[in-house]
Amino acid sequence: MNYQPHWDIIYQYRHLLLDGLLATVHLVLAALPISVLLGLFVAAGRSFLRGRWSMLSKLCEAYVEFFRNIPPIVQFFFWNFAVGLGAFPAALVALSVSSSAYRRDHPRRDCFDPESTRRGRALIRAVGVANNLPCDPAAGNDSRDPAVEHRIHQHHQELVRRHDDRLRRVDVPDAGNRGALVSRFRGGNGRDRAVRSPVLGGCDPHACCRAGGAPRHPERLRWISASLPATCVICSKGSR
Amino acid sequence: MDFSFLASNMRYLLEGLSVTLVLATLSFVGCLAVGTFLALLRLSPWRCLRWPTGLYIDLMRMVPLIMVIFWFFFFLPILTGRPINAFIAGLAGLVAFHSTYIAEVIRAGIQSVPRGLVEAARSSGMSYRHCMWHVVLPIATRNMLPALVNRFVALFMGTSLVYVIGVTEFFRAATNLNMRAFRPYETYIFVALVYFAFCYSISRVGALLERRLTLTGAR
Repeated sequence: MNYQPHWDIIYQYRHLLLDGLLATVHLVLAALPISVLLGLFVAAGRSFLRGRWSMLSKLCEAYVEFFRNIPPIVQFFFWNFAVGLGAFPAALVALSVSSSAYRRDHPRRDCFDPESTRRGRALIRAVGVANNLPCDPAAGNDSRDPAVEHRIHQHHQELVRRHDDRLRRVDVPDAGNRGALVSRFRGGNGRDRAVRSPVLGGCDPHACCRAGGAPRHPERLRWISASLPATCVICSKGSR
Repeated sequence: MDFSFLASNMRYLLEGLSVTLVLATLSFVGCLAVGTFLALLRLSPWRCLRWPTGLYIDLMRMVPLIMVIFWFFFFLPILTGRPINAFIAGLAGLVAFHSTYIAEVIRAGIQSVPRGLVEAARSSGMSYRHCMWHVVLPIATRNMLPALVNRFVALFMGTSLVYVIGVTEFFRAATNLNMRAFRPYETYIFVALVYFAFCYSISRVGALLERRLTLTGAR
């Protein structure tokens, strides 16, 4: 590598570079409020118009999906060469539109958690907008509309079905139970954690009692039963 | 509006599209390899590995992609002393840039596996390798697949920037066509629709995966 860097050109062309930097700052300062406002409107349209003007809500959704899935450079070229706005306005429009459509990468959707669902429903009831939102049939909801009741019922069934589905797909069930046992060994509120934080879905504190039964994963169960204490920590019967 | 010139030049555009697809796929595979490596380094127990990796990842995430591509295109020939293929330079730039994002996704995926689970597996007599392979990685993969798909969409869109160093991928093919036919409306609407079709279908797959693979109770 015999290359002579000439850092002095940066100083020599400092005005040019500074102009570029200023243009960048101008662009950002101009595009930021526009895109925030636009994004706010579209986001509000997407979520609040869902019931009454579902057409508009779908339009907002389409706007977001469309501009999110096109490379910014195509948008720059489109506004500059096709529409003929000129360089700076084209950049401004493209930047505003594309960043207004940008939302965070899909947030991890919380899966069905009976506790938080229950709390959420209590909140929904308290706010008093239970009419077209799913609420708990068991706790008595505010709606008297049979269609809404039906929808609530279906939603509930769906949640339960999804929950069961996940339980069935669990890979290493015994390691999960072992996790509950580990937290029990450590003191703390072991019972609480074993019941309320099912690692890998569903936790059976008495699994070790069933170690002698028909194991679904004989290999893994052998590992686990080999490292278990001689007596079950819950029912203090022999575990092996 | 006359889209007929696009139809008559479809072959040229398809060649460009194939270059885009190859570039996106190759760089994604490269990003996965480099990203996993970076993530493991970032999670390593030794500070002398963790710290420089973190610095590199943060540096790369703070600069624009187009600059990285230019940088590789002009710097690799100086470093190696021979002219470099623009495709390779673009590939290297894309991998260097996007592997940092993917490294963060992978790191988050590994860290999302609850610690109690790892402890349970280790205390059940599994070795570190067994624990990684049978417990941590399946769950981590599940957790990070949707985010990885999103990164792939970003990468796919990022390949359009490689046009600045003269790789004739889809965007450059369309631009060349526009220079000859001078029909910017039709050209760029068509380009936008093609990119949209690809990216939207990939992100739909991501959403599907997210619905299918989300595990319960991993908290």
